[in-house]
Amino acid sequence: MDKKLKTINRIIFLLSIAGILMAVYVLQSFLRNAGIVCLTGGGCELVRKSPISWPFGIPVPAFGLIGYTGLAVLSFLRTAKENKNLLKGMIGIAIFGICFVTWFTAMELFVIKGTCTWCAVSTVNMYVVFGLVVTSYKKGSS
Amino acid sequence: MKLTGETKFFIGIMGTTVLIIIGALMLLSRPAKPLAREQLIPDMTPVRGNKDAKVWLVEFSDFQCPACKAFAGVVDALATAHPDTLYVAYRHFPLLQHPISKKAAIAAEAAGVQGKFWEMNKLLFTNQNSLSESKIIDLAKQLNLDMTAFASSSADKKTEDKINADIAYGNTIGINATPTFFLNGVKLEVRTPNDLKQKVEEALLKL
Repeated sequence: MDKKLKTINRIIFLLSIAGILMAVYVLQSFLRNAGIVCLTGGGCELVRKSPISWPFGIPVPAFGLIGYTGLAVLSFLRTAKENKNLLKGMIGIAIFGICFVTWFTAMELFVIKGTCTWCAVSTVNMYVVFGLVVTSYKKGSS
Repeated sequence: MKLTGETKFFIGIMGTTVLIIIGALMLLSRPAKPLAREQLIPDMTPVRGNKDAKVWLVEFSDFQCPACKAFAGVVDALATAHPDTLYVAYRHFPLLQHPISKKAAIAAEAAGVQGKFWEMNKLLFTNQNSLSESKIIDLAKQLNLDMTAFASSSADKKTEDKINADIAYGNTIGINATPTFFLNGVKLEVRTPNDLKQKVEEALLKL
């Protein structure tokens, strides 16, 4: 892996770790039914208490936790061996990730009518990760 | 798997992350220390029930919040059913996104000056969907309040200061949503009015 790809992989890994930390914090509040520290007033509580935040009975942050963990593991594996399949896996997760965060942001804005700071940060995070994974894939192909 | 320098660097970060998560979860799962009664129920707070009751419930609420309306019926039923064993206090936490809720809180306090806080409280929640300044006046008239005194109390800066003090205190104890309940000083995590009923009744049964 060249130096630039290595740097991008590091950033993806660190952003995934940040995503994991956010997801764990929000998930524990969902599971313990505890309040969330929120910069957008009562938005986080509105979101937490909405049935939309439990698709198929699964709390929304659990999806984030799984997605970011997958990205972190794959970017970790890339440090040992460059393999195009690892990048393809990352692209798959990132595409699902941006679809999911986009859907959920729309739900927050138009249905729940409340925004959660952590979800917003995670949305931006996932978009950045997606951009980096695509850049990585393109650079690896060229 | 070959452990390159990069791999070791990533393992270090993962290890640190796991430690942070374990530490944070241990910290977050510690039971919260109960807040003192005199802090949660300062003088002049609207209360009902027996002030010497061993079970006391404090609600931080907003007259324009739909969830508060949903819980109001249960709070009223609990206070009515257990007048000797339960002490209930109401504190204001009007949210910024609700344009009339602070005015409603002021009206409730102004009615309280004439001894009708809880009656006004009930009317405000019942008429939540149509609240406006003129509607609040109508509700005050329905309660046969002395309207001159009501207007004077509503305009009194001390009334608004009291509500602002409730908001400021709520912020210091980390309230970020309504309704928020404290049972015997411990913040309750309740999702439905029935959860609240259960928690209060469990506390009453322990007496």
